Amino acid sequence: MKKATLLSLCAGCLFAVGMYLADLERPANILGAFQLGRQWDPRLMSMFVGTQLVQWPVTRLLRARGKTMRERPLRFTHHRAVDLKLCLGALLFGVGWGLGGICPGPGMTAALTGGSHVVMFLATFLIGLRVADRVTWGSGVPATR
Amino acid sequence: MDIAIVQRAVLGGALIGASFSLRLAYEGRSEGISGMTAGLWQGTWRERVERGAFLCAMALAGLAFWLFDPDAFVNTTGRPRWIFALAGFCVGTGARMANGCTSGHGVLGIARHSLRSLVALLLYMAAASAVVTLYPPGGAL
Repeated sequence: MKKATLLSLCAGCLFAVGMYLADLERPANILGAFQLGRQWDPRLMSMFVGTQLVQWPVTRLLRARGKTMRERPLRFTHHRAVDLKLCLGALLFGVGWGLGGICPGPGMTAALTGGSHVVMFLATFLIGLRVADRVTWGSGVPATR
Repeated sequence: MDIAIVQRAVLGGALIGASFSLRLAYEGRSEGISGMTAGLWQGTWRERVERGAFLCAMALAGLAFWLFDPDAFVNTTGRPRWIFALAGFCVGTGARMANGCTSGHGVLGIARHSLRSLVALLLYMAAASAVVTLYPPGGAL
């Protein structure tokens, strides 16, 4: 097996372990993060802090190095403009997140568990991805991420 | 607030960061879960295989955790299925319009100090908080 594939497999496993440890596979725990007051759930915010403890220094080191581990150039996206498409998309995403308590990470991790809420979410999530990719947007920013 | 829950979540987050860091360091491309999923239909075959490998390993590991601890995957929101269908469509469409999801903007984008990502993450949370305030879990629509 190619090294890159093996690495992707390991990274995928790591992601699922992290999601399980953070206990964010229960939609109620994510919705709880958006409930201010006594019922506020600390898991989502704690998870974000944890990701940056690793992601921030790694990104910084890679930037300083200027190349990947395979000595290839970095391909960070260079879109700078905060445009209407970004804002409308982000608001739409947030509405969905607040309705279901699932975002793509927890959803795809639970893809094979067969829970009816996950199946419903993923079916329309995939349709949404495809629909949005087929629509031509005014700003002409290609979807790369 | 239970400190053990916070510690577990921080550790879990660190592993998620390590997962994206591995791909970022090797591929040099910051791509979250929605980007990888949409990327199954885009790009070179080599890129598609890498994305597919990541997503398959992730779903299989998720299945293993579900077999060993199904309670961690339970839906206790009391919300009907059609709400989840609506949620999925909003999340899928929104993620592509915004060029990223919680992982792409919230983890990778924030780490590279992208203004777009910060704006996206704040709007995700503002909209989600508004929805949860109007429609609390366990409550009627």
